[in-house]
Amino acid sequence: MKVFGIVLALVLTISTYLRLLSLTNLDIYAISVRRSYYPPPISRIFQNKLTTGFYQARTQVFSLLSFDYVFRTLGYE
Amino acid sequence: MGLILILAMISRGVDFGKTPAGITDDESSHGYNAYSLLLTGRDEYGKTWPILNRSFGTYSSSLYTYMTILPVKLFGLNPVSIRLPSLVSGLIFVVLVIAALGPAAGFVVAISPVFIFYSRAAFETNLALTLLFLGIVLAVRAASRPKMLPLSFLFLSLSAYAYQVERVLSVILISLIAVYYWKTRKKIVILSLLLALLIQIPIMFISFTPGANSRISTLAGRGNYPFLFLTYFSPSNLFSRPDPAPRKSFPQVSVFYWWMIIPFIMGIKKFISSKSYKSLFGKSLVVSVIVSPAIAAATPDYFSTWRALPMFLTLAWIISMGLGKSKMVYFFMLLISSFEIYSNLVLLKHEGSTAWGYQYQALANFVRSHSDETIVIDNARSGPIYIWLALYNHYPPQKLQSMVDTEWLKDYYNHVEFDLNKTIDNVQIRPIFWKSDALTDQILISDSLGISASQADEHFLTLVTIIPDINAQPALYVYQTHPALKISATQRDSI
Repeated sequence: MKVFGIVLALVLTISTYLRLLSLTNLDIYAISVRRSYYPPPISRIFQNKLTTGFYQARTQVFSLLSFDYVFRTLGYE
Repeated sequence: MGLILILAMISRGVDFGKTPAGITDDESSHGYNAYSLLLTGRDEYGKTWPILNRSFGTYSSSLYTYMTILPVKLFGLNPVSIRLPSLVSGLIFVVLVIAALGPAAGFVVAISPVFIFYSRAAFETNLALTLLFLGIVLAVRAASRPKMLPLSFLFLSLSAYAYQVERVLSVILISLIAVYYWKTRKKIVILSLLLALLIQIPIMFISFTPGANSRISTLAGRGNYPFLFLTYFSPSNLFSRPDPAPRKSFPQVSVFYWWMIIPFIMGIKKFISSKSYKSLFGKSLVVSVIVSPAIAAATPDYFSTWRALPMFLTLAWIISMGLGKSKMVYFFMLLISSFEIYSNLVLLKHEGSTAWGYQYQALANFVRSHSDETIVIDNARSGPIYIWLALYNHYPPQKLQSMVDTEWLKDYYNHVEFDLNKTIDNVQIRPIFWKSDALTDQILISDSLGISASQADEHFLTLVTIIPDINAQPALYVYQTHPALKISATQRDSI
């Protein structure tokens, strides 16, 4: 099971790096909007390109662990 | 135990009543009906101590409303009072989990987003879960102290009054526990069953009325059942995607944090190898993990976490089994989750404010300060606005009750119809009809879709004020009509 943890961490790291290179202007705008919700000194810790890239990578990686694929393959939507 | 409880109190209690910002229509219904029951002994429709609450044309469980009466009496009618029963039951739940399943499980429950979220707002499902689990804990204790069995059945039966899913789940669990103890403690099992039956009789009778079944009959059997059932076990839904309903989770956060999938997978192995499922605890929690999604999947909603809440306790237990004993693991989990919880609370407050009805408090203030003018509030895209106005302005319940005739009340549990349009004193809550409304001297209130800038120009409306959301963005626009200008312009155009 430790292997699973290491593989997951590796996949997420690589995927985050790839996502970081392809953030859109809309993503950058969303980061700036969300920063305004936090107290100024710490807003950069929670809302930055890295956290956004990681969120997108996580969503993509976990979507592979969804059962939705099985049902789509069987013809359900 | 003390440290975990403090952690649970901080994660659930920080900025309590203000995050989520605003209050939903369902929460308002609990609060206002508790206020109405406190003052008059009747709900907003005039029904004396109802078994099920008529909540906007559906019938919801009443126990949460009754539990809100005391906080409303002590602290007044406000979001803190309305949400307090959920917070208290959430904290009791953590204590029960520590006592019954160990500190590791208590720790997982204390930091898991799903349990934090449902303890921060008025959700009947959270109260029901605590009652249900208390019933299970007492049933297990009954092995050494048989007198606990009637108490166990009492709390299991009470959970049926707290939320719809528990109406089915509690009966299944009572049956399971009765069978478990039948051979060794027949007398006390019979006594406990009689007690459970006595408590459940009123809700069983009411459950056969069309009104009580309205929610079930409108939702059941409309989706692809096997697909919807399996969504509750999808790792993506459990560890990554948030609940699709915007008012049912933290933004961008799922039931558990993504990294909890690692101890979860390790925990499954231990759960099976240790044969934990063979104990009464294990059996009860395994039943919960199957029955609650089975009921939730009968509705067309994709992955409704509030309906499947009991199953997440079992999953939290499994996650705790995979944590191991290293103190460093707990330290890192605490560190990461503290960051996540803080960030989740900030995002929930700011991104969920409109969905949580933040703007209606300012609307209620405006209505209160303009009691001598006719006000039309557009409800074409909103919920039952009257309940927010009644809640925030502490509208006398007797006045709302007087709008319902006594014949209607005789058939209280059969009214599935509900009209969102209401007239209360000087306030009309209905869609705007431009042909007549622009020609009447009154105030019109709507969002930007209800009254666009071009419509305001066309109908000679002047902007009185803008009601903002928590981020100072316009949520509602308040306009004054000018019938004389509109009439003269219409006449000029016709010439």
